[in-house]
Amino acid sequence: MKKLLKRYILLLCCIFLGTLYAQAQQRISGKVTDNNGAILSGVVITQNGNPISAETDQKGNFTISVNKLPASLSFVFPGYNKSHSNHVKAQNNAVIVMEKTVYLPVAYGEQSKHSVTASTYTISGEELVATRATSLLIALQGKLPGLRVIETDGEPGRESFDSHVRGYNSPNSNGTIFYVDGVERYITGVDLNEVESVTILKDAAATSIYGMRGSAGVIIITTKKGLVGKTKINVTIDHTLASPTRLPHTVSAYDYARMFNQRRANDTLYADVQGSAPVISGPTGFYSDAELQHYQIGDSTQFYPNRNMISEFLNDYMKVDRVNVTLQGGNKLMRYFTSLGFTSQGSIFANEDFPKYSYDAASFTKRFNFRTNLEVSLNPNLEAWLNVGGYIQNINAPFIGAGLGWNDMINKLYQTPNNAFNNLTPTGEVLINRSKMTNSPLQSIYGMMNRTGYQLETITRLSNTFGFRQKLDKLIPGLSATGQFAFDINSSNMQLRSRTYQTWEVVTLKARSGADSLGYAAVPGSTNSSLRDAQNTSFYYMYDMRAMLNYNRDFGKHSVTGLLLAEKYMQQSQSLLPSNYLNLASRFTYAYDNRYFVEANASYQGNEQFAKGKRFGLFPSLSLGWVLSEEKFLHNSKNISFLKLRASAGQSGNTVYDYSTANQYLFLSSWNASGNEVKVGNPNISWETSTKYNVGIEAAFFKSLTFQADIFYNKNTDIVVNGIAIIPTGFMGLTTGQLPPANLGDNTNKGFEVAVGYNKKINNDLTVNVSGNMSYSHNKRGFMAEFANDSTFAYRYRQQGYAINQFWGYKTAGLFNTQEEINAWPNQSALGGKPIPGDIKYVDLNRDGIIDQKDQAPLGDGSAPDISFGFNTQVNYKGFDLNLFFNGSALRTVNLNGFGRWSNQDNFTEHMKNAWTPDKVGTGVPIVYPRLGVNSTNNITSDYWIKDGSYLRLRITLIGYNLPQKLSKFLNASSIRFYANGLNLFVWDKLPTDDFDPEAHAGNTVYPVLKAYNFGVSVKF
Amino acid sequence: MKRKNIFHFKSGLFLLLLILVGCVKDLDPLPTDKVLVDQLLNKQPAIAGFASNCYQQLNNSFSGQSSGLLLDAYTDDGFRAGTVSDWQNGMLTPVNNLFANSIWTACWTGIRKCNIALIYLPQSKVDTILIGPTDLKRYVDEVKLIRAWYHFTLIKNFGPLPFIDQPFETDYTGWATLTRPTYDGISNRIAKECDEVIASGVLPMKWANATDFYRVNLGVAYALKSEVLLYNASLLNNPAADQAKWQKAADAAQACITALGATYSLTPMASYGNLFTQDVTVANSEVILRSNFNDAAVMNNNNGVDLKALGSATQSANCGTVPTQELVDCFEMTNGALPVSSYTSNDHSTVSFNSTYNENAGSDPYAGRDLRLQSSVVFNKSTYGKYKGQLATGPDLLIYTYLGKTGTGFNINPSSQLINDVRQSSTGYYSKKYRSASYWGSTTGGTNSNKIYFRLAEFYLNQAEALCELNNLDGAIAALNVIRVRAGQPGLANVPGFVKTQDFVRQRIRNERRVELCFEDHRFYDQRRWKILSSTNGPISGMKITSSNGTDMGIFSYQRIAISTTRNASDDKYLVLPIPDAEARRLPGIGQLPAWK
Repeated sequence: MKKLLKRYILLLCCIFLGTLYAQAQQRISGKVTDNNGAILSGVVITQNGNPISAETDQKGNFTISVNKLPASLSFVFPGYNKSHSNHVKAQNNAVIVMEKTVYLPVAYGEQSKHSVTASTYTISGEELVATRATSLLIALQGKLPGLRVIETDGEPGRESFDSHVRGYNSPNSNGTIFYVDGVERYITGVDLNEVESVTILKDAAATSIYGMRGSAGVIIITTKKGLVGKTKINVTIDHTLASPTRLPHTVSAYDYARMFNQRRANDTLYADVQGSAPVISGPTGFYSDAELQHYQIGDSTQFYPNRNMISEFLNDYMKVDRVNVTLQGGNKLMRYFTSLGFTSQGSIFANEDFPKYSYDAASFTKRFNFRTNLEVSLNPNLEAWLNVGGYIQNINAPFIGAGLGWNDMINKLYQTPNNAFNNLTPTGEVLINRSKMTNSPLQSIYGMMNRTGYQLETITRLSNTFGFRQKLDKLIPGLSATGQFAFDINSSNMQLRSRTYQTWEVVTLKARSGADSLGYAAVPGSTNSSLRDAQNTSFYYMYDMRAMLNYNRDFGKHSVTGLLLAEKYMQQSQSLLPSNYLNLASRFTYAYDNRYFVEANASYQGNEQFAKGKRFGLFPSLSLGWVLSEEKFLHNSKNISFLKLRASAGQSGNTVYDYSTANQYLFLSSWNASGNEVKVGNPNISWETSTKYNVGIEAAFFKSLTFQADIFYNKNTDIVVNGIAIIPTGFMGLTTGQLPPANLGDNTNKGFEVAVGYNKKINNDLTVNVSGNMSYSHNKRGFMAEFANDSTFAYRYRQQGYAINQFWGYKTAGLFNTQEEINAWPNQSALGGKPIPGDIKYVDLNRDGIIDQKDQAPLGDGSAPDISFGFNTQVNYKGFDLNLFFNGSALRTVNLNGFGRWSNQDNFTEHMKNAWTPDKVGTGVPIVYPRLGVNSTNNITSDYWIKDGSYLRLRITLIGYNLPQKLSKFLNASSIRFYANGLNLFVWDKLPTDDFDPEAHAGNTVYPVLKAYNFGVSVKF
Repeated sequence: MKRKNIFHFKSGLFLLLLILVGCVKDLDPLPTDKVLVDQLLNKQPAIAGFASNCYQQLNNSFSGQSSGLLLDAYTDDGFRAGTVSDWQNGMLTPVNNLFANSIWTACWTGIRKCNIALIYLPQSKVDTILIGPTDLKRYVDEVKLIRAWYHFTLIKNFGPLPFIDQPFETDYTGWATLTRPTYDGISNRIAKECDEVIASGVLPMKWANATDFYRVNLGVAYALKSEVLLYNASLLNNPAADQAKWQKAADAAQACITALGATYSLTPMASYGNLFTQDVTVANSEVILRSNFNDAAVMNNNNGVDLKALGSATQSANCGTVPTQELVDCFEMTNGALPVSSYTSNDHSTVSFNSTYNENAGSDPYAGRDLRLQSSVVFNKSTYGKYKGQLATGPDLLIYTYLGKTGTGFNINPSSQLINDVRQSSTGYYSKKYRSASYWGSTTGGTNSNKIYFRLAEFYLNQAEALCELNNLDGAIAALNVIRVRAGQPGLANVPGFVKTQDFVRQRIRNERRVELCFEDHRFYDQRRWKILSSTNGPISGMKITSSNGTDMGIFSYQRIAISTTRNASDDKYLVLPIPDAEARRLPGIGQLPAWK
């Protein structure tokens, strides 16, 4: 489809105007080539825009008769634009070089690089494939200026991401939408090998055509299409070893027992100070000296083990094997692209099968994916296409627990100290870890991982697109009509086979004579059961149908294009009511002499989630472009080969409504059968409006340097406010929680992006390519209908005037070292308890002598980075190539959690050895942690835990080698390439501990961020 | 372009538009998983529901008003041992506002329900066989009356507030434009609502079926109007003592008594106690409106006499709000004399008695008293009926409150929160209204406790008060005597020390009101509207009784003891309650009262 579109637009857009000086009725002859020297046949040459005068032959030669000299000649060839070499001296053997036009995907079509007036950025699939990442969004991290991707779950097969274009425009649900081959779709099914290019659409000019859906930006993914020519076959085989970038460094059994005693002593003191019931004290509450000695010496590991839980239950590496075959080819009648892939992923968890019950709980993910894009030319004016893609995926795992996943498993694993009893009794029964732990005393990691049964999820996804394009040149030259229907289905079936297992524990056996001894006994009430069967299923489908009229024609130096689109999009998931969007959109562009560009976009879009009369909205945009390098004063500049300025303004929207039961039909009040208001609706509820301004520059210098920069300012209005706090309960008669959402708020979001590239072919053997990008965005909430705190608060507003995602908590002033310091300090027991020495000092910001929620202050820069950047170096030398890609972010804070924050789990890390103890005070020993203890106020959000989250990561390291042509030809291949690459090999950050990755979501108790070593071979035929 | 081609082009465009218009219809279906109001208008339960929902926010229980304490605990009539409330502590602030949810939020929620009902009731499409035009008119009048009642509850607590007659749209932004009217203005507006219901006359004076007894009737319209105008004429809201306001109050009370006279009558004294132990479905000649909620569990389990030691299953967890000695002192001797002539110490521990009353050892200070004492207060050696299952022929339970008596004895330590202490009274008295010995534990009741909203006796007292302020002393005495005669007390002119002065009559009307309506949520507001808070809400005392031999058979000695507790809520600041702080700031036009700023 793209191919076709390209042809029509190009025919009309790309005009070569050459001026040649010749005598009347003279003949001019010559040759036309492209900038790679390839001959171009079929180039249409006209004089003064007259009907066809000549055409180049198979060898690219032409001869033309002209009336007089000098004569103006136009060279037109699809896919090529004007060459700058317009001073052709020779009348014979003139060599005309035409430059290939670069086309960039835009909403519902594509435009030449010259004519794009919107803020977009395109990256080729080739560059993404180099990451060898297992998912597209991982590959995109750091690559597109303006796009920020956070992995929220890294579990193989269930990866999920939070992605934002240009930061936040709304505090509400406002996810970036993804278009795959022109249709809004889930992108989980897209394999990297299938991707032709990925484009980010950022400003209003680029997104207003998406109407009320576009304010968070749009990512367009274009898959590869067929080609006219010999079939190209590409086979890649990859083998990857992946392991967590970082794991917590938990302490040894002896250290654990020792620190446990330290913590328990603190907790006992704390309870005393509170006057509350004492925590367990006395001999059972502490590890005795004898016990400590056993742990230290290791003389009785049966009952005093010293284990390394994490390395016991996590594999050193997770293996990933991938094979992918793509075929690309076709002829004038039919073109195709086919990709077949198989991926097998292991797990970082070391669990084993359980032959006794003959089931296999081994953790693995297997996926088979395919895609076929087919284009058929039915007659010269009619083309049709059929694109089908999808995958089948199996994810097998132990049945960890109802509604539980690997994240829970990891959490429990990290919580189990290294003095946990052995997995099994000598007779092979599961031994639980009944120790002195308080939080989760009855668990066996071994049992949870190996004896609970298994779950097997099968996910199938299909995406289908069928369309046709009819040229209507006979009707109106330049007109064509397109119809397209797409539908996707996604279903998942989870088979749950769960069982319970009998647990045993270590008990003290009372001796009739002599000393008591330790032994094993079954825990009463626990039994071994056989597998129970259960099932979870989910289903989703969507369809998108559209009719489109395209118009594209040149009138001399004037180029006009138009687009009129009518589209209906529907999605339906599970038991939810369907959601429909209707979009009537149009685009009009006008270009003069390939120098001045004007573009107007508008979408008139509707959604049933808003009340009748409020349902449809108009989202217009206007943008201008000026290609200075086409002006006479720069035309022949040797330094500046390309220079374009562009500016845009316009609107797009955000429906907020995130397609969930709770958020459907917010305009309606619902009632119960006896006439009570159940949920009050807001008949005026509507989308959020984002008014966007953007100024950009694109330039190319010295034939090797490219530069692109954009500055944007978004004014977001009609922001939906939930639970409007400024409405009184009095008179309204509704509590804050009963109030419907309303479009009351506003905010601003501004920033810039810069992308620089340097590409130099130093000699035939050496090419250097260096590029970098950086994005900055910062938002600030304006009015949010927020109800001000009274004047006794240190900060009266918690939203208005602050960024979305601003952290709020307490400022701290170190730790209390003595009771005297506590007595002299303002009372902070309102935070949860009276402090004891070693606790965190909080600051009484409002100076009322009491530290409470009135003293909360904005802390840090928020969880989302304001600055993110990427830096890429690629060197090709002979057959070798080296690629290093760094990315990172700054102006970001991390709210430490899990092990990063506090030992609420029953385990300690090496870092916590530096916790406060009275004897460390004043000795110069570093104290980087409050005193150990479960019970304290130390765990609340404060700047003790909110740390600079800036980081720099060596994301990609790649070394490749292409076999010499001769050798690969000998093997019947057009190229053979070997490569080794690393993902996430190093990361530099400012966190106080290296127990978890700076990008780990919510502390460290989630599936860890992985680093990977990959080895692969790619063979092209 | 050829004509034919243009035609094709146009028809193509037309086709496209046609498809689009067709698709627009796709957006129209409304969700099938939500009940919309249009779907309710032809359904009988919903239309009836619109009206009955309005009752949901009435304070129908005894514990709903203010953090679980009976409202009398905030007056000089009652005392609750254990934790000193923020109110008595003087810790009540607009932010720390224990009346915020129970009164402010509840009333406004109720007003919204009323205003919604008034919109949808007239739109009823229910078959007239099920809900006829008269039924609908009755629903409308009921709702109007309840809405007026919610407004009155708000203004008698928080001062004047505007009358709201429509549910605000959620996008309403004019909160700052709402301002406080005058108390007179809003009172007349509420009275006008009552007048409209009276004029419409579709509500019965009394509902025919017991199942309807919980619904407001025409009598409530008269009763509410009388209360509203009495409050409007009272000193707090009528500092200039405008006689016209008193006249309106007197007229309203007279109108109430006249209109209700044919239907209602005062209960004879013999069955006076039954007023407080009847279910809503029981027809009672005196009760105009009663709550439909039986709150016997709260009254007996958390606010009652601990009968466990006497053989009953009722073990009260807390004696709750108990009567003070000051209240007991208001109950006259049978000759009409007040037992106490004055308190001679600041803490009320020493007093001077009238000649016919003494508290000497061996005497019975509770003998020869107004019969209503027996019905309202459980005192030492008072009869308390039979518990469920007790032999009918056996004697009634006798309650002893002397120090050391198991179960019902005296709690010497009022600030203790120990359960054995809070079960026993710190004043030597227990409250009796709405309580009954026959209540049987927490599982099966025995006696009901449905709160009385309005009963006829009040309006004679309203009339007496208004006429007294108009200096029509004969009229005032006549109205007052109706209540006194029912109780078996002599007419006011016959009481010892009677002088026919406005001041004497006023004092005795106020005393009568305190006695007759004690523990019925009146004293809290009377203390305010009379502006007597600073003189009456100070020290309180109890009666420590000791038995000579420590048994029921001993000789009892009586000692008044001051109850050592913080009682700070007595200055003028407490005359009108503060609006919850956040609400006052959300409503700058209404604002906070200056005293609470």
